[in-house]
Amino acid sequence: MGRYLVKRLVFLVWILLSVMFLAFLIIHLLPGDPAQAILQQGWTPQLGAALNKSLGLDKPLWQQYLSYVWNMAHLNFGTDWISGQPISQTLSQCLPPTIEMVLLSQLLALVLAIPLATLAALRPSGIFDRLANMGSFGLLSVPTYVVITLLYIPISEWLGVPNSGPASYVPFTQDWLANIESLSIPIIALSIGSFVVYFRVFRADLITSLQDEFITMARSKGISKSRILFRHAYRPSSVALLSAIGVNMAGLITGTFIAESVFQINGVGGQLLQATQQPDYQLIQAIVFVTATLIILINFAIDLLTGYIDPRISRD
Amino acid sequence: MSAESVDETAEAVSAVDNATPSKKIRLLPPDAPLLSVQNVTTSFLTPRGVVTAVSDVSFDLYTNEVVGIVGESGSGKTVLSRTLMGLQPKRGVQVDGSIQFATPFTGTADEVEGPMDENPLVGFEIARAKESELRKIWGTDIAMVFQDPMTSLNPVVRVGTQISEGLRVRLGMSRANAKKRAIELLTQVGIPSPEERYRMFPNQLSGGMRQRVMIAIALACNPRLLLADEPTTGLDVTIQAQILNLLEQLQADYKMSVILVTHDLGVVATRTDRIIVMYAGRIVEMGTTRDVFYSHRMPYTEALLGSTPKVADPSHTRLTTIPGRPPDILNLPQGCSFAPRCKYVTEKCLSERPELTPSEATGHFFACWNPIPARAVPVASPRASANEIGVDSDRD
Repeated sequence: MGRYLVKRLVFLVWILLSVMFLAFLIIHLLPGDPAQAILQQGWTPQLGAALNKSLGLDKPLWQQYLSYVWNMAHLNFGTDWISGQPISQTLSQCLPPTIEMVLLSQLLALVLAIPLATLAALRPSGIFDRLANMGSFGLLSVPTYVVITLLYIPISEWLGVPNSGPASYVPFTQDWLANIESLSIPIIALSIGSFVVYFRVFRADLITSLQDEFITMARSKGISKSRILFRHAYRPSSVALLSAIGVNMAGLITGTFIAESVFQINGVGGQLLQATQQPDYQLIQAIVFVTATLIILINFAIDLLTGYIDPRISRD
Repeated sequence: MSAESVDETAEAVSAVDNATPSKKIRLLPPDAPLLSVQNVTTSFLTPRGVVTAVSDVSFDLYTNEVVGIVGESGSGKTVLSRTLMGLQPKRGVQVDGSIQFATPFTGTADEVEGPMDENPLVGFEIARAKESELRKIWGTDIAMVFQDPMTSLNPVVRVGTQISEGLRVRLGMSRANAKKRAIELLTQVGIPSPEERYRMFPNQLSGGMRQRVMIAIALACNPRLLLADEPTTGLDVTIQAQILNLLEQLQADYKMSVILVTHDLGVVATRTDRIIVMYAGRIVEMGTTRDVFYSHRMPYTEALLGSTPKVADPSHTRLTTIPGRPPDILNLPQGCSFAPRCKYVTEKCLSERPELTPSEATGHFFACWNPIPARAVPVASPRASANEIGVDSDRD
């Protein structure tokens, strides 16, 4: 396990450095010039050159890269050239709602997917299995913004959940209950896509595992059905599920912007979209760095769990 | 071996049937077989039709007896061993006939019809039992050593946990006691440094070690009947002999009955009291190991024996093979299933199926219209020795 962890860690740090290098190149690869984006109409060649000089953009590329890595490593994102706000402040506003939506939607998806997949796998191509399969495909084919609109009626209108309408986001630090209420519809909407994937992946693996010879062997010991399911079938069936969780969470961190824009929540996805339109190069770099780090941490956690669940993987 | 007790068992079966209306339990006679198999047929309901993998199999197995079931791939021996244990899935599989397992009676004397015995036994009908009932005898009364220890051990559960699980769940042992007993079992099956292995995962062990673990799991709850389904197929020949010797020794130590399923006659030659030869799902010859080896009447048994390599043969001797292929069980020939491959085939063999009949010389059973003439059998213990038979039994 130890060697496996070190290997994974080295690999992830390498990925982080590569992502950071690409994020750094953005400034120099994207069309336009930072000074132009800052000065907009007031841009003249002389003013632009002066601004570039004061921002350090006239230095050789390698010097700029080193100072960039140094700053990022110290979580020193600097002040936004365009808005004049510290970038760390922008991040601390847009990160919490996104992280919360991602985590809670995944939790909801798993809490629903695992028992339903188990029920379906116990009788493959039985009535429940077929219904659940059809239902999950149906859900998958409805786009998020439609789901959000459709969820609004039962949740806000019929159930009358307070704060569940658009533009009613309450920060977690202010009132946690109101916060969850205000995010309830986007969380449910975001969980649907993940739920369908988790349901299908876990169901398929569980069906395969339950047909394995070691399940017959476990039966021959005379132990109960539930013990066979939980002790013998769940673990070998959850490896693909874990990787699906990793992929989904990574996708959702920047993929929540539809839900954010419908509900006017200031999240990471929306912020990134804005920064790209401006273009606010520093903010893009900072968001890319932070989300890449998060995704890498999630993947590391998933690798850890996978190695724990299936010892064959961690002993390569 | 004990005499073929077809009549006796027929009585026992009807006793079970009669027990229901009077609501009194009929005990088995004290000398009843441990396992009495009557006309067992196992069919699979597949999209291509009903596939009958085991047809009309009957035999008795007594306490302390070792019976070998021999046949080539597809002869139904694995399906039979799973049917005997009741492990076949219920859906899509139909089991007919009766598999009566003698279990100790735990009730009181007034539940019993007739006088109470000293060690009362009742018949447990495996063929018709629900899985919830079977669970009560699995592990503790009947256990199985599976064919391939690579796939039949759970790859993500520690070896020790897999052994102690039965002890904890079925015998209600405490965690510490179960662990102690599991380590004891690991020692018994010849695994060095058992404390260390206890914490290992199956993929950290060699094939032979894994099969030893498999045996330890099967023995954990002290079963009275051990079904070993090709326990040495995936192993090196030297390890094969070790595992078979281990099973033989444990059979004596634990006073178990053993059914040893194999395709290798060398495996059963010196280690079984009786042999059942199967072909296309049916028993084609059955008798003491000695009778079957020395005075086999069925040409298939002869062909099987002939295709076993022998050490005495000079190098580069061509291995004798049985021409043709095992029949397609979806499409069995009308007469004897072996007829298309048999060198003694007659008209009758192709049109009519021979039934099991006793051999006039030895009294053992065979199914053939044109049998090989009976030969004299040297008188000795039922288990033949490898040298006598000329079968290279251990091959080590």
